[in-house]
Amino acid sequence: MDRRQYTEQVLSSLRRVTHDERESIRAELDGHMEDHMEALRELGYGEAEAEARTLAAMGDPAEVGRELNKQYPFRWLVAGWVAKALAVVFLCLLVLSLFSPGSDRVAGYVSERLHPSGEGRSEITQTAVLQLDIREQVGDDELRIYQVALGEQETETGTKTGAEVLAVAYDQTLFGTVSSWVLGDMTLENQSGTQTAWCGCDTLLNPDPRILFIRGFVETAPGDTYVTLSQDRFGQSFSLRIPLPEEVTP
Amino acid sequence: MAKKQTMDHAQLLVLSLLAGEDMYGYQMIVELSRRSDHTFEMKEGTLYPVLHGLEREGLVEAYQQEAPTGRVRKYYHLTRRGAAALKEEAQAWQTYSGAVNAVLRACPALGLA
Amino acid sequence: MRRKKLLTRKQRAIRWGVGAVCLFLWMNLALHVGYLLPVQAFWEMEEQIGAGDLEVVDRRWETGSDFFLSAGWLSLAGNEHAVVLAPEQWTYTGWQISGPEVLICGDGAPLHVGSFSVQRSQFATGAPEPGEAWAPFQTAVYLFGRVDDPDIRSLRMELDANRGDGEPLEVTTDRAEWIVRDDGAYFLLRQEFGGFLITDLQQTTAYDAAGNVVTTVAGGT
Repeated sequence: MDRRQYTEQVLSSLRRVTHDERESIRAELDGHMEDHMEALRELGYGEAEAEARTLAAMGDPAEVGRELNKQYPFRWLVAGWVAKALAVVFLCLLVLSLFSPGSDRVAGYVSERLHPSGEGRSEITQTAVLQLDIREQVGDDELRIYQVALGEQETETGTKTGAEVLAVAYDQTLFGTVSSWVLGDMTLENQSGTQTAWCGCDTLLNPDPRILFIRGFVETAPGDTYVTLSQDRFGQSFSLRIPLPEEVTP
Repeated sequence: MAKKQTMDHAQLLVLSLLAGEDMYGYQMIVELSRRSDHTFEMKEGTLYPVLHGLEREGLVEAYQQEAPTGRVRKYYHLTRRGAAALKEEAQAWQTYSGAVNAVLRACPALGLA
Repeated sequence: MRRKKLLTRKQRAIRWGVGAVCLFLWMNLALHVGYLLPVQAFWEMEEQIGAGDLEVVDRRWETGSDFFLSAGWLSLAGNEHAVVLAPEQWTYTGWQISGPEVLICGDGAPLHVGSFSVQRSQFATGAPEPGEAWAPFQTAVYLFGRVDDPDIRSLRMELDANRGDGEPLEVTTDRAEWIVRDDGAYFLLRQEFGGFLITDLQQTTAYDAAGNVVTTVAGGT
């Protein structure tokens, strides 16, 4: 028998080991025998003699293999497989969910929450715009009005002049759920109270339970200085005055 | 009869070797032989089931280290749990062997007194 | 002298397990997907409605249909602010409630009614009885709501359906079938009609114990 055969015989008794574990044991045994051979060479033994003595010192390979096999029972091997399988399943679910509608990327959600941007959300031709930061706690959510603009909106009945309000709403807890029934369906009213309009979130296009992108437009009269955003539903009520920007007179 | 230790003596010896410094397999064989004045010369292959068993029980932990020669060796290190187990088992052994010695010494036929 | 720690099987298995749990918690809490319990979808719906905690008054298992409602739990819940009918369905990304019917209360009205219909192909429920016509579709109409006025003893609901004869569908119910709570008497009815019907709740007439009309409500409140 030579060293390689010895190691192979030990390894053949191992029945419940992974490939990596097997190679690690091989390396350890080979290394051990090499160290022993090295020591014998230094004492002046020849190659064949050193190998024979080393193998004799190692002991019965079948017994070593048998004892070693006992140290690798199934339990944690199977547990490891189960854990890995679960992790893979959850990773797949996560990837799938990124493609299903309504789940915004986390980075986008966090950035909109900290710095809501009006990028691409305005639907009017603006003549004046004002950036704001009006915050209102509504239940366990926060409503944040960040922009109001004066301008013209095209509708089926013609061009209307008025004020457009942009806001976001989210739960006070990070990643929490926001109430789309309360903050996605509000009322805008002009200064004189003659015009009211819907202000809210088109939930069909944005069914993300964590954040609402709110928009409303109401007709205003020249010289108006504010519009009112209000809600009264499910015991939550508020009425916020939103200042209008000054028109830049040409 | 006094309680015999739950750990077999090979494990106890290995743990005590590692109490001083981290060692790799062959090094332990050499050291064991040296310290016991060649009384303990176990079959070298059977060291590894012992080591892997101790590793599994959390009494030792292993790491790979590259020697200056380029050889990569698997070193074993005594964990805190291992140190505590060693202390407990060593004490049990002292008690047990002390008791055996006492009985033997009291036997006139052996002339050990 | 480079060192590399070697892990045991147990340690590796535990690390993968912890990783799996973290992934799962992230999915549930940050992305709001992968709900393993139907009640998680219910809690999310409660938050989306924003009426506070809703008491679940009735919960029944509904078998699937081909189109809009796959198999799942249908829950009737409410509080003083709202009455909600929520279908909880199992999808490959966990339990979901898409599209609860919500009735807004709190205005002192004596009665709140809503309707919800589900079209089902006969193939989903099995072959017809011998002698029965093989109708390709059936429509299950759900009528739900809460009666806040204690004098009201029975209701008659008329629904417009796109049936050829132009006759409205009628569904009646009386207090014996309702579930009484502190805020009112809740009801959830289900009636099946043959054909593929899109229903629209036209009118609900409420009667007291003597049979007199207490109130008439148009549409779903």
